[in-house]
Amino acid sequence: MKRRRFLHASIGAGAGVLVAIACGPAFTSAPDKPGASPSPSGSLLPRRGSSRGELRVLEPFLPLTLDTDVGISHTILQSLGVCESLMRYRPDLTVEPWVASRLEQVDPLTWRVTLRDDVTFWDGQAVDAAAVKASFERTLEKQSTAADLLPKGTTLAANGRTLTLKTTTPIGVMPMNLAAPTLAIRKSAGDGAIFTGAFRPTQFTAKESLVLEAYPGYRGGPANLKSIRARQVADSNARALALQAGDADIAQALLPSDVAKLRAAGADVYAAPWARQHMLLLNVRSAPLSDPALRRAVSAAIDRQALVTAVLEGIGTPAYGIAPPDIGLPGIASVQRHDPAESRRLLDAAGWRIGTGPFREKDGKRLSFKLGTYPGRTELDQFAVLIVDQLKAVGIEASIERFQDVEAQLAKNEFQATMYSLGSAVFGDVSRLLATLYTPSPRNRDRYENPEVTRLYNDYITTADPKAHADQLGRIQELLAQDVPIVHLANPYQVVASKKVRNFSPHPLDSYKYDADVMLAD
Amino acid sequence: MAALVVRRVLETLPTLALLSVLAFALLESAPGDPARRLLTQGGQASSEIDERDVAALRYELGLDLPLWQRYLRWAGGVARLDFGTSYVNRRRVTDLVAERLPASVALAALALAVGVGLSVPLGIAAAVRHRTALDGAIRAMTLLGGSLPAFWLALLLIWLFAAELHLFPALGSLTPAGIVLPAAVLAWRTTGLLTRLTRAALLDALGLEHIRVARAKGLGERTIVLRHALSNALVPITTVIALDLAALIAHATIVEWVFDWPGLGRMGVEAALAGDVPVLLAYVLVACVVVVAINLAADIAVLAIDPRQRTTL
Repeated sequence: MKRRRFLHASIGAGAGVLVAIACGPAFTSAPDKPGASPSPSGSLLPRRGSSRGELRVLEPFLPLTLDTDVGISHTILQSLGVCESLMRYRPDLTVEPWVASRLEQVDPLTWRVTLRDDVTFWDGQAVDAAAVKASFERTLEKQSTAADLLPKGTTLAANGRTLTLKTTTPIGVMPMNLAAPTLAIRKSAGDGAIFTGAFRPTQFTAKESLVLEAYPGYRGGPANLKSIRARQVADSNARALALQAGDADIAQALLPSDVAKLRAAGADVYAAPWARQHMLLLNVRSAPLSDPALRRAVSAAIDRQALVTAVLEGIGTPAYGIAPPDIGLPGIASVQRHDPAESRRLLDAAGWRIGTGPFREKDGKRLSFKLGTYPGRTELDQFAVLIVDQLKAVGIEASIERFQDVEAQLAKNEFQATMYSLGSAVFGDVSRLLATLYTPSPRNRDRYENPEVTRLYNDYITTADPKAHADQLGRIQELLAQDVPIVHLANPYQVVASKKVRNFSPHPLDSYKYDADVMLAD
Repeated sequence: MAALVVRRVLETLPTLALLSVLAFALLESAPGDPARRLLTQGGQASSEIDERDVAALRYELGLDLPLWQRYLRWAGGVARLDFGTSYVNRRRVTDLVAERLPASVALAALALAVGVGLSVPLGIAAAVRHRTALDGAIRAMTLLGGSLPAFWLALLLIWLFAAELHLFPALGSLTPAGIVLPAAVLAWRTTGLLTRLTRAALLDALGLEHIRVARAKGLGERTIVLRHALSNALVPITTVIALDLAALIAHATIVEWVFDWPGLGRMGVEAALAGDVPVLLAYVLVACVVVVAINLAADIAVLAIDPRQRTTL
């Protein structure tokens, strides 16, 4: 075991280094896990032992379908070890080759992918560049969001194990794009698809249960687990109690209130950093929040620590920046702070004075706006109630309104302010986050736009230079600190509990949970 | 008697037709566009949906037709036991219902059997030991049974019998051990209701003339209660069991959700959350048919128990 760890550590460290070549960086692969799979050169390292045991997992969501080109099935299936992408995110959110063995930027418009020589689909066929090209073409046809990753006009050329991608504009964030589960490598087979992951389905009931067995031909030997039995249990209390009862080995997405009781019950409980942030979106096109000074005052009035303590029971961190600071994203700065005195000063300076009642007024008009919440995230309702009180303390009136479909409200810009929770899909790479909320996008249509932020974002995605990225991101955050289109509230932790499960630790991204090395303790 | 039964069966048909119209109209008028929702199920945020895709899907699903045409199309399918295709997983709704019906029937039947099996003896005991400590204890228990919310009771039982005592699995399954806790939660409320009713009906019956005559004739108390009083009490009990079935179905939905029971109730909730109108319509219609059918069966049972009712019905 120690030898395996040593191998993993040393090879992993080597793989983490970016090797600059002609025009850009190159990413080279490491074995998936300690001693588990062949090296990039193809020489075999010690293989896993035999598969044994069944891991019983409880999930809040299972896929609608086993087709990765439908909906978000790709993310869930990848998390269960069914499908894989060319690249993947490590737990520190750096990227490394996965089905690929090497990714290199040949020139600003050209990326060359060299595939591993030991990856096979479940039917035993080796994954070559032609198979990856066919997979991408099918996904681009079926998934509209795939065009964000491989823009229109990108040409794919397959030659043996080498796939060359030629884009029409430079895409410096290509390694991260190729790590998106949307681009999972698939092969059409009959009515469905087959993949390359360590586990393959044997039974499936949509949004109910999924049984997986270890794929015997998986590189480095079949997975340690013989099978995984995943069950969708929507109620988080039921998931926690089922784990306590011994009906499951691992339960995902538990409540902060479960942590203490599950620890007392002898479970391994992880309260770990998570790529999710709860936030308050401000409509910069809607008065009175169209005034940046008022938005800054709102931000300064909100006590994030109180929200985390009262609602999340301390299982999370107050949010002062555009992303959770502890998930590995580089260059995330604190751009907001809680300072009620500063909030009052900003409001006074903007001409909002305390009137006859507890709220401020200007030109006979009360300082008031509506604060939206929506079903599905109880913690946001609780946040909203506390925020209303905190704003009242500085003289701002906020009244809560309910949206049935917050995305529709965002699309129509029919809101003044709304609670919102942004999840894992956009936090893998900062560029996705910037594209989603801080530049014109479907979720930010005709609302917040700062030409300088947009320009810096465009620069960001075209370069692959980490130094340039750091400078661009730093400048963007400075601008956002002034504009405050969003008040960052809290970075909740993910709560996962297990019993007798080894080689498992929560990944910040929801798309990585179980792999070939997870095992049950004896 | 046979003619009466046939007449009652025929009378249920307009009721079912009316219910189908109401259910269809209500669900079709619910906020939100099913086509848009379906595309969202596909993983796209609703703001990212291409309006041309929405229009195409509306056409494909027949949502561009007037409401009455859609109803006739749907009702025609239902008449052939074809509930359409799920918006979400594109499977035949009839197959989905058929897959889940056994689990729901098993759960409801067991809960009803346990409820009736416990409540009648308890109700008799409370009535016979009227105003004693036993009566008080049974009444307190039935009050508790009627007032505990199903979801809370479900979590309480999971915690106690699964998490702490490890006697039963926490999550439901169609196995002898797996059905115990869900059925217990469902039976709890039914037991409370029926025990109270049995007690009250039996107390009324025990005060009737013919019971006094039976006592005067020297019949044993057991015979009086079981043969002469209980037969009178059975009519309201049977009626209430049928009437309570609608509540049982509603509670079953909650219980199936919490216990992850693979039944129709859970399917209905998931369909409601996903905006899967064909599945939701099928669920509502099946529930309506079950309620109507059980009420019909109760009417027929009452006719069999009490021949006097044949003239009034």
